[in-house]
Amino acid sequence: MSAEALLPRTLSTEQLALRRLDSDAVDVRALYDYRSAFADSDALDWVAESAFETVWEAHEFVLDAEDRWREREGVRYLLTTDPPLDEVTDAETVVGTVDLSCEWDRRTASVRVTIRDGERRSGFATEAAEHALSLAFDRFDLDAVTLDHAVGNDPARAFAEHLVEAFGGQ
Amino acid sequence: MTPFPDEFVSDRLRYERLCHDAVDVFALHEVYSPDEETEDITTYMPWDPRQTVVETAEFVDWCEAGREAGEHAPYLVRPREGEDGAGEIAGVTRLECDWERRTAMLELWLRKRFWGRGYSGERAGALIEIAFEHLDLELVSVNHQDGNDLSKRAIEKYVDRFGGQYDGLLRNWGPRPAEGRVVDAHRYTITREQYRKAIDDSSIDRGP
Repeated sequence: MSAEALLPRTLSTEQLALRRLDSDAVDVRALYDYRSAFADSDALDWVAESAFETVWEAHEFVLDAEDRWREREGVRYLLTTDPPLDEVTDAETVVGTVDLSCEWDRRTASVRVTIRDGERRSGFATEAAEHALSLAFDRFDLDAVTLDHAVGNDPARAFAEHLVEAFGGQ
Repeated sequence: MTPFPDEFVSDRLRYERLCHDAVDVFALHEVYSPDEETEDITTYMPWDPRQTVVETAEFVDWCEAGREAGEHAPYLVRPREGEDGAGEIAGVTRLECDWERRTAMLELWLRKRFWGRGYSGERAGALIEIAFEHLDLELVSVNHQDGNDLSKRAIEKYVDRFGGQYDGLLRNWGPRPAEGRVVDAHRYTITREQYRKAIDDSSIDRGP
């Protein structure tokens, strides 16, 4: 099966559009601006993601993401509140990212959700995570999903606990 | 797809990504092959006339590879409709990126018939805007070889317009192996803050 068939390009949830991160998905400057906005807020303590040093670094980040899904190692989606777009050009419309990393031989995936500061209480993180769980279990038929958070990162811990409880995990 | 625009325009000029898809290598070779004009143009340039079309093709390869690696964005410069010589290749310009230093370096050469029109300054305005406003770099630099008075005048004019400064003489800066010597160069820089202040203060258009 091709990587294209394995990992869908766009998805929609109730409030969010998920756009698979690749070089057609986003204007690199918009991605760079989105991450710069992160660096200015306390959103950094949600999951450690710092601002890009340069626009070129943002470009390389996109190429890496593209390689990763082509190699079937995982996928990252940009979360926007717009309908699924051909190309994301406005940093303001990006509310976060959700990342699914697959370890096929262990039948396990790990999920990371990052939501922009100021958008935390909108249920976006839960919606994005539910979709990642559905990809892992329903589409890829994996056995387990893990969620990590940095020690001391209380909002991230609370979110992980909420999600684990909602789905009967541990 | 790189962060560099594929094409853009300024008041009188159009800029196209220099790549095999955009230009016929034989047409490009016409302007790079050795004749009286290119000998003249390259007196103060870091390149020599290209002897064969293969050399020109290799130059285009180099342009493409460097762009993919994020090192530079080379463009063909063509006068727009209404200009004398509209649509012709007037010259080639490059925005060279040193990401670690947050610096873009400008380069340009023009065929002689396009000299004296203020194209250098117009093109500088367009590339500087890309460097600062699109690529979010912090500094733009430009050099000219010692003794190149025409470039000196053109550069001084736009560096002054954008609030920049003359940095100084870089001794033994440019190797010229074909001539068996190393030349001195003068360096000028403009910071993003200087540029934005100059734009705000004067509301100048970014043309010549």
